[in-house]
Amino acid sequence: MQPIEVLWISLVLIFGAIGLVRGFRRELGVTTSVFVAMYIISQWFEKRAVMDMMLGKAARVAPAAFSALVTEDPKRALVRCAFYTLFMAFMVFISYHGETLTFDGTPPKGLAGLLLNLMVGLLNGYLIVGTIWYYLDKYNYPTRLLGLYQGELSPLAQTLRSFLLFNLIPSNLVEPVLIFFILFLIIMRVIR
Amino acid sequence: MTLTYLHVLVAVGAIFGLIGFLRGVAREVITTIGIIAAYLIVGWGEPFLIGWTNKLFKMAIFAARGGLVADDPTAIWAQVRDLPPLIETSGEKLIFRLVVFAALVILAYIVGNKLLPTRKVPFGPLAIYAGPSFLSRLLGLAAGLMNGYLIAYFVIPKAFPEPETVIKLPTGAVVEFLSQNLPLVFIGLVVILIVLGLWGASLKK
Repeated sequence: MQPIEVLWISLVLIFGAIGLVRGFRRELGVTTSVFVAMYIISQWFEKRAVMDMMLGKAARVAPAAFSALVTEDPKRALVRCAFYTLFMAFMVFISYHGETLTFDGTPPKGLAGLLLNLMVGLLNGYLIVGTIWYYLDKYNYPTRLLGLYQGELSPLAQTLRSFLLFNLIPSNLVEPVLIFFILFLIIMRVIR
Repeated sequence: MTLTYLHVLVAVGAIFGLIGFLRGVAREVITTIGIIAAYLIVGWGEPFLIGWTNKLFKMAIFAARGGLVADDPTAIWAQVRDLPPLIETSGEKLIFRLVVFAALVILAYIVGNKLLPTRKVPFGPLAIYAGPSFLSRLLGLAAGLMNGYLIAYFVIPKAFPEPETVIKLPTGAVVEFLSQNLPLVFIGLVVILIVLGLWGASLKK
């Protein structure tokens, strides 16, 4: 099994390659929906405890065989992280699937265009995979229940972890920063 | 001489902001990529680079002492092998780190100029690139400030680790300021990336 940082870097690079192929106009549409997903997860599911409420409701109706999944940690944390991952994947799928969020215009040709494609692709990878890593880390890697995590984080992983967006931005600024980016991207989309 | 952290930051900002204004945003963004790459190379590749520098150093000594043309190279190699490595102590490693980082950052500036070549025109006492529009220059100013920030973020904690140096540079306050404002740099870079992309995308379909 590879360390988590290798997986993280590999996935970010794959998103960079996707950005190269799709072009930054489409990738900026993905960026918009990723910021929306990050806002919903961090500010509603987490900060306003909507996820806790959902798990509480699920605990009431879940069959006895499955109740541990929503009542006992670390299984509960695993369900939570899986839900966030699926939610992020769903939001990314929406933006990849359609053209609605694509920004207008003809991208610049040559090296400048390629660099823009790559950088926006890498940014999307950093945001998407970084968010998933952040919550796995926050809930103490519940994927260890599935045998998908082992050992301590390497110094490199600890450094990278400190640069994840939710660790980079002070917690009291996360909401305004995400709202700023969402509004900024929507405004840029509209004025184009 | 006593400098406040504000003096240091204003000086760094003025220099790199001016460079960004003169070069335009496209070149500055290429430089930003280079600075980030320099972070990664110095941060992750240091043991590899130091190992190879020490090996090449001994190979150069071996060659300089005539080992390549000697009848018995093993005798010379035996002398060279016992020499201390070029980079061994923490002080030597610090200098090596800063030199490699500086070289990579300078290379990033050169690459930016080479990839987007244009003629220069007089701008007061300076020469500026003719290509960028005023908007590009303004964005370049912002990107240049962020590049200066990123460079200072790397260099100052390493080069001035003590609270006071010979010139009483208050690095503790500077480092604290730099650490606190890293999120703003991230936000600024993302905004510039988006504006640059959309501004560069022609609306002709």
